Amino acid sequence: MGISILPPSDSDDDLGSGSPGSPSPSPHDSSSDTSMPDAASTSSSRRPGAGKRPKLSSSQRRRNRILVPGETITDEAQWMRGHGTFSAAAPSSSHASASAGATITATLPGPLHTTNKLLSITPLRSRYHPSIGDLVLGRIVSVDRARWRVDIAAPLLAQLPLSSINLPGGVLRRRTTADELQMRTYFQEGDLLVAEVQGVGNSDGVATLHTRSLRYGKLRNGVFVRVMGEGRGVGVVRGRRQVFTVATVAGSGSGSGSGEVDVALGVNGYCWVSRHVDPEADALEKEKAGKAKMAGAGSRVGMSISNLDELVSNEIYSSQNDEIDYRTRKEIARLCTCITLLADAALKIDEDTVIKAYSAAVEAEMEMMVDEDDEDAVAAAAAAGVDRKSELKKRIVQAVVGGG
Amino acid sequence: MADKRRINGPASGTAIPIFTPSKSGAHTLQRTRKPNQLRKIYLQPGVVPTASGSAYLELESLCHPSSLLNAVPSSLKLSCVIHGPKPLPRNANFSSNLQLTINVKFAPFATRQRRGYIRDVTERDIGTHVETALCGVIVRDRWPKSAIDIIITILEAEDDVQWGSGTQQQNTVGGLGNMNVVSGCITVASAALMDAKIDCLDLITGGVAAVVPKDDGKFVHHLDPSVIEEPFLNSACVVGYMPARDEVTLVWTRGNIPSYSDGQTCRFDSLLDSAVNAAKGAHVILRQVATELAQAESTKLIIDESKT
Repeated sequence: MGISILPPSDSDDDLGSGSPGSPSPSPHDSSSDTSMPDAASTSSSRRPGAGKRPKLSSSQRRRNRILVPGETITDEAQWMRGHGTFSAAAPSSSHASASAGATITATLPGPLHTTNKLLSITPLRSRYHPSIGDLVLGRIVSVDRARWRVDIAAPLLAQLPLSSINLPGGVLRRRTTADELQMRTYFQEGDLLVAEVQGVGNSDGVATLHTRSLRYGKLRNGVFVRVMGEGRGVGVVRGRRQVFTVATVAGSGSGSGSGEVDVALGVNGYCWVSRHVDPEADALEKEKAGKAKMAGAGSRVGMSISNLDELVSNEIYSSQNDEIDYRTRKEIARLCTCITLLADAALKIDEDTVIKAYSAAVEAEMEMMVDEDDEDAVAAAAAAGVDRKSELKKRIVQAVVGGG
Repeated sequence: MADKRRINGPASGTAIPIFTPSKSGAHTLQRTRKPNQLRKIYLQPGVVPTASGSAYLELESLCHPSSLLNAVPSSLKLSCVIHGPKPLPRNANFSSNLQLTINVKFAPFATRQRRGYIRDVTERDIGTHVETALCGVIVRDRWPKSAIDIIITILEAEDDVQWGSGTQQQNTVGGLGNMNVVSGCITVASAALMDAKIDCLDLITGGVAAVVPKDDGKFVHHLDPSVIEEPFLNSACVVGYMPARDEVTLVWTRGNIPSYSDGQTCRFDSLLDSAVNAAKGAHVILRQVATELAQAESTKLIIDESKT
C-alpha cells in the first residue's frame, strides 16, 4: 500500500486563534500544547511542527466528550494513560501485541481530560473526604458528652472534643466536669466555626477537629457561603492560603472603618466572609476596656503575655455580632456572590481568583454607574436586567480565566 | 431465624382465608412480553446523600389483574449503598488490593415469607455471588490498603415458589427468584460503584435467562423470567457480564438442559448467550444512566480551570 499524503484539514485546528464562533479552546483540552489534527496526517504525513503534537483521531475527540466505564478512549499507541483510565497492557504483560496493548479504556464516568499526551478522566463531583491538616468550616449539629458533633460536609459528622478547644483562662487548664456542663456557653447547636482536622478515624473515617489556635474558633460578623468542595481541581483549592483579607472599596472613600473583609475558604466547600478583625487593634481596644475596669477596681494591670490569652479568650466564644457599616456589608455581599459565581463556573477558588473576581465585579459596577447618568441607558438596562446580570457574570469569569 | 431480642412478626404473612373453587394453574400470570423482552427498569444513582455512592433499582411490577389470592405483585426493588474507599484498620494485614465487603440483606417485608433480621444462608449466598461478579470488574489494585462496604438492601423481591401453587410445580427449578435478585444486585451495585467514582473496567450488568417448555414439546429461551409468569421451566441461568470487554464474571445455573428428540439443539452455551443478551439489555439502561450522571455533573463546567 502506497503512502498517501493528505492535505491538512482546517476543521481540526481549533487551537488558539480559532474560529470566531468558539472564542475559547475546548474546555477539556486544558493545555495549549495540545492540538488536534486528524490521525491520517499524523501517521502518513509529516507537517513540520504540527506533526509532533499528539492528537486524538477525529472520531475519538468529540467536544465535551463524556465517557462511561469500559468505553474505549483510543487505541493509538502514542497516548499515556492517566487517572480514571485503564490499559489492557499491564506492566507485567508489556510484551503483549501492540494493537491490543495500546487500547486505553475509561474506568470512571466523566469528561476526558487531555494534558499533552496524558489522557485522564477525573470525575467532577466527589464528596469531601477529610484528611489531616485540612482547614475546614463546620456547623455544630449537636452537643454530646464532652464533645460536639460538627457538620463539615463529609460523609460522617466530625467530632470536636472539649479537650481540643481553647478554653478561657489559659491553655493548660484542666477540663473538669464543670466545663462539660457548660459546653453550650462555648458552642451551641448551629454555631459556625473554623477548625483544623486533627485526625481521621481509621475504621470509620470520622474526622476529629481541633481549634487550639487563635486562628480557629467561632465565627461571627459575616456571611456563610456553601460551594462545591474539592474534586477535579475546581472548587476550593487545597494547599493555598485559605484565610486572607481583601482590601475592598468600602475603605477607600470615607475614613471610617478599614473596609477590609476577611475571607475563609474551607476545603470542604464551606466559606465565610466577614468584617476584618485586626487582632492587634482589637487587643488594644480590649486593653483599654480592661484598664477602665481595672481602674475602677483600683489596680493597674496592663497588657502582658500572661493575661493576653485571658483578654482574648473571653471574647472568642461571643455570639454577638459587632456593628458593621453599610458599605462593608455591601462588599461582603459582593464577595459572597463572587465566590458563588466562581463555583458555578467550575473555577478554582483561592485567594487569587477571588480577588480577581472581586475587582472585576467592582470595575463592572463602576461602568454601570456611568451608564446611570443617561436616562435612556437606565431604562434600557432595566428592561434587560437579566441580560445585564449574565453579562456581568461573563465578564467576571473572563477576567478570572484571562488573567490565569 | 429466631431472633429473641426483637418482637418478630409471624413467620409467614397472615392473609385472610378466602375459599375459592380450585382452578389449578389459573393463578399463573401469562407472559405477555416477547421471549427476548425484559421488564422495564428504573435505575437512579445517588439516592443516599451521605454515602460515597448509592443507587436504587426497580423492575416493572407485574400484577394479577383479577385474582385476589395471588395479589402479591411480582417486582424487584433494590437499594445499594457504598461506603468508602476507607483505610484498612491499623491492625489489619497489608493488602495491595481493595477489600470488598458485600452485605446483602432482605428487608423483613421483602418477600411473602417474612425474613429475619439476622442474615441467613440465602442472603450470604447471594452476597457471595455478587462479590464474585464485582471482584472481576473493579480495578482493585488502584486502591491499596483500602476497603469498601457495599450494602444492598432488598426492599421487595419474589418468593422462590409461587404462592398458593402448592406442590403442583414439579418442573420448576427453585431459586429463580434469587437469581433475579442476584442479577438486580449486580446491576444496582455497578451503578452505585459508578456513583462512588470507584475505578471499574466496565459497566457490569446482570442478566437472567430460562429454558421454558412450550406446548408443542419444544423449548424456548425466556429473557428476564419472572416467577409468577413461569410456572414451568427446565433451567435458569444468571450471568454478570461486561459488554465492552465481552467477559463474563459470574455464571450460576440451575436445573438441567432438556434433551430433544426432534433434532433441535438446546445447549448450555445457548442458554448462557440468552442470559448475556439479557445483561446487554440492562447495560443499555446503565450506560444511559452513566452518561446522564456525568452530563449532569458537567453542565456546570463552562470554562476549564486556568493553567497553573
